[in-house]
Amino acid sequence: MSFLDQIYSTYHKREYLGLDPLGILDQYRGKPHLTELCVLSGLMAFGRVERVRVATESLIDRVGLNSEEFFDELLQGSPEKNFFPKIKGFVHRIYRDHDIWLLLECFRYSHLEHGSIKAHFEFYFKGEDTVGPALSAVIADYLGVVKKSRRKSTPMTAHLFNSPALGGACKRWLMILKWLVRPDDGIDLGLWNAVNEVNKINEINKMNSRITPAHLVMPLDVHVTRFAVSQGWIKSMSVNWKQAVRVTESLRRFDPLDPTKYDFAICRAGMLKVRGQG
Amino acid sequence: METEHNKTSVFEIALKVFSATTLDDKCHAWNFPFSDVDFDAPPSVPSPLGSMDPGKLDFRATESLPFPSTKEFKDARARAIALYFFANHELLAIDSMAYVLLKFPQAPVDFLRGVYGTLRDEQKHLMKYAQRMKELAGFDVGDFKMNSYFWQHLKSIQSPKDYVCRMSLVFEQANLDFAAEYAEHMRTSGDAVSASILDSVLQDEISHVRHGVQWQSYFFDREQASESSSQVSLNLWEDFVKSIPFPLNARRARGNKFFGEPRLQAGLSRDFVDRIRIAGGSRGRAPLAWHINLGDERIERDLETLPAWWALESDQVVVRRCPDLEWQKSVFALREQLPEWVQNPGPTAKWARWDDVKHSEKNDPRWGRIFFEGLIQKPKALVMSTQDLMDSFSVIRELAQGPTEKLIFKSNHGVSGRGHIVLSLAHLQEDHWPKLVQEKLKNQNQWGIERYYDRICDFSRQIEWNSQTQEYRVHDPRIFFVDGRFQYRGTELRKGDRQIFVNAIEESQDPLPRILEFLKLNHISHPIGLDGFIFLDENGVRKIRWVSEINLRFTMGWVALKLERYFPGNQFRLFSRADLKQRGVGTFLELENQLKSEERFCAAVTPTRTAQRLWGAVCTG
Ligand SMILES: [Fe+2]
Ligand SMILES: [Fe+2]
Repeated sequence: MSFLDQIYSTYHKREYLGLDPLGILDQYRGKPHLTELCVLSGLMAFGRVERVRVATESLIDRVGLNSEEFFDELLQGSPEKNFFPKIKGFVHRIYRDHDIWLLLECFRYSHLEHGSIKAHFEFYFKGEDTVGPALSAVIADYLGVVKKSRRKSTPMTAHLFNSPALGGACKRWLMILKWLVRPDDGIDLGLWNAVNEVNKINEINKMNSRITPAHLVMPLDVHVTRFAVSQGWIKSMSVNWKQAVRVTESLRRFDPLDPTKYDFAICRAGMLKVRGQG
Repeated sequence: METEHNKTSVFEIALKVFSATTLDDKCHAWNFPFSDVDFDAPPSVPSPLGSMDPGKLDFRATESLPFPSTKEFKDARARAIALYFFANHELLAIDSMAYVLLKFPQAPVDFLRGVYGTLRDEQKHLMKYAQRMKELAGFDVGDFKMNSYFWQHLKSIQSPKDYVCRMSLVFEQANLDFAAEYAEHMRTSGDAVSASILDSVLQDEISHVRHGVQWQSYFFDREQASESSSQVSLNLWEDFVKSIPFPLNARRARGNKFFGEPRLQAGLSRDFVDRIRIAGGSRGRAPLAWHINLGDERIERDLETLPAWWALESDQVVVRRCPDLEWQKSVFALREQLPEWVQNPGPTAKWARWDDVKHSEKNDPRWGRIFFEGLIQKPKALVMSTQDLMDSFSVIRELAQGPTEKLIFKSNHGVSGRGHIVLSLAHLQEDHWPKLVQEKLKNQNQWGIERYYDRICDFSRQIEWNSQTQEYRVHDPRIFFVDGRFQYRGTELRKGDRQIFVNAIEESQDPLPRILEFLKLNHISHPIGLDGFIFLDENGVRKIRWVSEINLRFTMGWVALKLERYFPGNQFRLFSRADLKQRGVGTFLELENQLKSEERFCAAVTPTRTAQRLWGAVCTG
């Protein structure tokens, strides 16, 4: 068993979920609008998990994202009047109420134009090696939505919409896609692929070229980056799209169909090691 | 009509002379006055002429002589040997001229008459030398082996103009110097007879060169006028250089000593004479070709003439355009030699490319070890976008935990240091990080991020391999300057102030001895530059980082060391067009004048007269 697989078998466990922003979502398994919940909490995930949890949960409550009626309200004629008062004054780190509203407008766009965020991604996915081009295309659409919106964007709106097309590592979007695309193994959610077996999913999806775990790219956080440097997969701690692809390509040597399955374990191992030393 | 029939065809004479195998046939039997020569006769050319070699006079000879030193000239035999060499040259000239008459019978009659007249002079010279060396040492022409030096360069001529450029303007022009120089040697050795022979040869040679000057100009003008000519040369000098292909070059139109006056008497322009005076070029051995490669075409173009400061006369420097004469003269005044400027190096040139070593650095695994073994601490630079920075607090904080606890963020689009931001570890708190990024690092697609040192000064140490002593020479540190973007901009041309080093603490031990050991072990003989710097650490203590970078190639620091010979105590500076603007001048010539008007020393390290330069280099006080 490779060193990497040892880490995987040791740390890819539910007991470590509490350390991860993913832990926030665990309570919403099986609840409606889980994709939107993933996007929202993934994009809020700056810094300490506890603070992210508080902010995310408060936001979910405010907009009623976990209620069945959420999209009925969002997709109607002029939802801004209805929604904006609910989030007015919201602040989390760099984000303001305007940023949140713009994100809701993007959800609305995906649903009106494509039926769902998943369908929106799949519309642009043409069976490429990675999810990168599709992500760039969706982000480009979202930036178009932001441009047309009556609400002004803030300087920080751009940080919701990092894009591979600009060379960005897109850590948070890749993390979100991993949660959604990887099968439900108690850690990730398997929301976009209902079958709980990676090989089967890949076989099915090769035919209709849906996004599968094989297409995912590794989100580069400090632990993953440091690990990749220590393994000689990349030469510097630089975080950008090329580096993310390099790391993913190295991980494919261990599991070509599911390279990002190691993400959770590498992060946990890195975190615990740092804490152990501190 | 009667007399007409008694005339001999110039082509018949040429053929007889060319194929003669006795001194009498070469010089005497076929030496006819003009009145007996028919220049309008139909050519009687044997074919194929191209493969024909002239008749040999030295077929009995087994011994070849070395050219004597002038110190031995007290000895008559030594002087006779020198004359034997001169006679050899006359013989080659005779054969070449006969060949030209045979090869270009359709050339203007006046040209043919001129060549024939010259040929008769050369016959006269050969006879005089032959007679004198017989008197001095009993030698006959043919007693010793002769060389075919001119002939080898002349048999490929394609036109009468090729002939005048190679024969008259190279070999005969050089002979102006040799004749004048050796007349003097003969005189000081007390040999007035030999001296007067050389004096008269010099006088004839002046007229031979004049013949060349006139006919080059005649053929050049005709080429310029003909519309079919696609390769138009700009002037007679360029035309001359084009007509004397490798391994010939303008340097060969000069002897050991240079005499200007006979050249002016021969009708060469002052400009042409100046160019010959300073021209570089190999006189036999395969030249070393220099070519600056800086990775940026625009900078390269402007700094391509830098090798003028170290290349030898026998070297070539590959350039896009030749530097102007005034600048060349100023360099020559200091160095007393210049390399040959070429657009295409000769086929046998050995390369001393600026980037040779850089390539091997990438490919040679040995270089990896020098870093791997921790001899060099290379600054780690990250490349990241503003948005990724927002997500990467831990990565940034980790990098900041260095000896100064500071990072510098270099913007991709910043101009000369503007857009550079220094952040210290104290600024880096996770809670405030996104806000800090938002405020300080917004609107940038890419940032280069490095540990920042409060540098007091940068210094470089050059290492050169001395093949004679089989040792490395390590030069003392020289202080150098960088701009706001940490790009090299200049060097102090003197040893770095000892006090600066004494008053600082070594961050870690100087790895120099181990680097030298490594270099020797791997037989590395190209120049090496070690960069280091002195900085203030987080407690305000001065520290020395001995080696922050190792350059396994020619560097600007190495150039500066070469310049130090000529401008000790001054500074070598690179100026960009933006620097000029800042100083309120428009051109590099104006900069030079401005510095001089400030009563500061200023020497143009690169040509200042060329317009449209983006970069220039000067040495200034
Ligand atoms: Fe002569
Ligand atoms: Fe001559």
